[in-house]
Amino acid sequence: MSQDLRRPGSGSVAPPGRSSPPWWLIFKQESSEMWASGRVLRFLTLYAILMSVTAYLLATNNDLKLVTMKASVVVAVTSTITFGLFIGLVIGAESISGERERATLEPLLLTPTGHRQIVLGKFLAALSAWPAAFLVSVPYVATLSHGDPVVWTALFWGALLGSLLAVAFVGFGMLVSIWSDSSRISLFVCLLVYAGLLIPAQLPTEFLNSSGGVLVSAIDPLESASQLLTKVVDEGRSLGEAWVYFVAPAVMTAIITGVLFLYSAPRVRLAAE
Amino acid sequence: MSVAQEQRSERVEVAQRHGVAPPVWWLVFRREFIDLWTGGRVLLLLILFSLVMSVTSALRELESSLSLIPPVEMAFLTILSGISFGLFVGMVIGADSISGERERATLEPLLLTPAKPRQIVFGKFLAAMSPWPVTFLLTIPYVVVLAHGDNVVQEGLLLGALLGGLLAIAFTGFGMLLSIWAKSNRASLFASLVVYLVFLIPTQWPGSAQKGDLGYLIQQFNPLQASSEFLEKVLVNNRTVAEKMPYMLAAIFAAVGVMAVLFLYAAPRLRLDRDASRSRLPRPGRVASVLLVAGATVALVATPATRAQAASSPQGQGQGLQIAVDLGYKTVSAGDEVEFTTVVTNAGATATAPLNVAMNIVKTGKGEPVDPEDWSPERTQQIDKLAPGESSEQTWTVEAILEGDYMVYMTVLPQPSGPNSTTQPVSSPGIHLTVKSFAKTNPGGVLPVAIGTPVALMLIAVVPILRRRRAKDEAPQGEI
Repeated sequence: MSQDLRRPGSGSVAPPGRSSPPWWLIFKQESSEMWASGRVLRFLTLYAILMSVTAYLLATNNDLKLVTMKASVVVAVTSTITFGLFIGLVIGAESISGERERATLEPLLLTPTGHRQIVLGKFLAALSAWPAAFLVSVPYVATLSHGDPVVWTALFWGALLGSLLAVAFVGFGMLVSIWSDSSRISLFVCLLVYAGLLIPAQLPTEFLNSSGGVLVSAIDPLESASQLLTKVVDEGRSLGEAWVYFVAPAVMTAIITGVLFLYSAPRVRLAAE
Repeated sequence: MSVAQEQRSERVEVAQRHGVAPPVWWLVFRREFIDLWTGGRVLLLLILFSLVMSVTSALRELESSLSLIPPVEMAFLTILSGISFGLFVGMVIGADSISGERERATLEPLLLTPAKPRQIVFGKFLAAMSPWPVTFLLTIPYVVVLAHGDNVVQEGLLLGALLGGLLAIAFTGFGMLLSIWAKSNRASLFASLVVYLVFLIPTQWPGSAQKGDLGYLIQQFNPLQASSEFLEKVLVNNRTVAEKMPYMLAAIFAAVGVMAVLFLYAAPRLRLDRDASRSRLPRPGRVASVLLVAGATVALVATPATRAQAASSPQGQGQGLQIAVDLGYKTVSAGDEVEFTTVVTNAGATATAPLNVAMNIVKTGKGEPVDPEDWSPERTQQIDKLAPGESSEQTWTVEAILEGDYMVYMTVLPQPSGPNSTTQPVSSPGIHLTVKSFAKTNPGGVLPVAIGTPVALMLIAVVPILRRRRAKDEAPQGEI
């Protein structure tokens, strides 16, 4: 990966003042490899299949009047976030530990590029799957909304919350990847954490409405996003009434990004920390 | 793992001692088992399991005290958690069993022994299954504590052991299948976890989104969801095992299907090179598999047939009250609305108390009981006092949700005059509702998007593969 940067005569050694910043070269190389190799496309196909099954079920149940149109839009947007984040998480989890395993991290670390720039380039490349996933979900959400203006509110909040969480999940994946010796471990840890974050959604509604449930929902960023979408899009409440559910995604994103770029990125080594 | 190196000497030793050598699968199992348990890997996963169980149990206890959730439901939820997390351990070990040995270059000596690949796979499978009984044993104290002495514990643990055992076989075997076919153990582990998550994700949908014919179909196909449904209905809702057997079939079929593919197809083809081990279904087989999955997913057929028959004779006695409905029977398709009107008449000589008219829906045959909240947005209506001879008309809507045969009847209930009195409810004649299966194949116009988007992405995803293949074909022989 990022061979341009390692190869003599590549963009990194262009005359000073003219060359693109290293993070940009890494991002370009990494994202073009990810997309051209079909890796992201395979994830997106799986994602689209999951979204299709979800949308078909929601449309059926909407016809059966089991769910309202607004509720089905909320579930579709929540599914977009839940499934979409997974792609970035997996790519992030593999980004550093995978290079370590393939012994391609050493040449990259030996370039005169700052480690933070390497991590930033890889971070942005891993993040590139999220906008695509979100775009893929737009037709599903639009179809389920039957032309109702609620689609705009849903897409706005979906994009905002999804982007925040995508940053957090990709960052978390990269953090684990930096700290892991093998990509097997980083993938396992990330998927375990992801599965753990899905648990609160399985708790009964009575509990989620109690103060204990509100606390659990407010801490779990995935459940927070789902609750916020329900309150704002389905129930038509203002952000002022549902702000508590915005805190977890925002705080989690800030903390993870801070730890990643201020603490971990400068310490990226050939061996796990 | 050093099975191959030690296997021969071990067999010789045992054979010398007893005269007969133990079977190869037993040796593989023993060595693998010892490696797994003494290496600390299983213990680490069990500690993780206990932590997750403790956290979820603490949450549930809190939930129980806040929401007054009955102990029987707590026991069910705990058993379910034990199964869900427990089979995860076996799946992870299974996913690493073959591809991990390939990566560590320890599979070659094993395959070079005179042992048959099926025996090797069997030994490894039993070893990978070994954490399941332990996870189940670890679950018992949580169930006992959260059940607060309820009698359901024994039955719950018995059914949990049965279902969990079946699912552990299915998931461990599936992990091993992927491990045989995967390029690396990273790939097999990743694919196993993704499949596990795919089974877990439908549980994220709100309850109302999991209903309807399609919702129930997905529930029955997903072994995790089907097992949850089975346990809940039998333990919490006192349904019989025979009644809910269709939900157990998913776990049975999953276990039998995975075992058959693993031991009859994949294990004998186990090779050093994963490509040689990989499944190569003939083209018609592939097409049939795709069609089977597609057919199961979009199994929604039947022509809508709606016919109505109006008016039935108004009857009903009791305190001079009568209630009449303007519909006797109707055949509709799931998703259709049925509207009818009731007329409540005071045929008595005195004014009535304030009245409540309530709608009741009963399924006449076996099957899912009706949840009236799903079937009607308005199930009761209030009427003020009726003077002698006065009538009041109400309009009702029933949304047919599930296929089946139903009786809808209305009850008028005079309000009792005080805490020490009661009244006689009066019922209307029944409305016989025959609901045919959901007939729309394109609900809400979603089908073009649901099919078109993945197909378009699949076509785009094929481009890099074709490009690589072309580059490989065009490359001079020596460069390949």
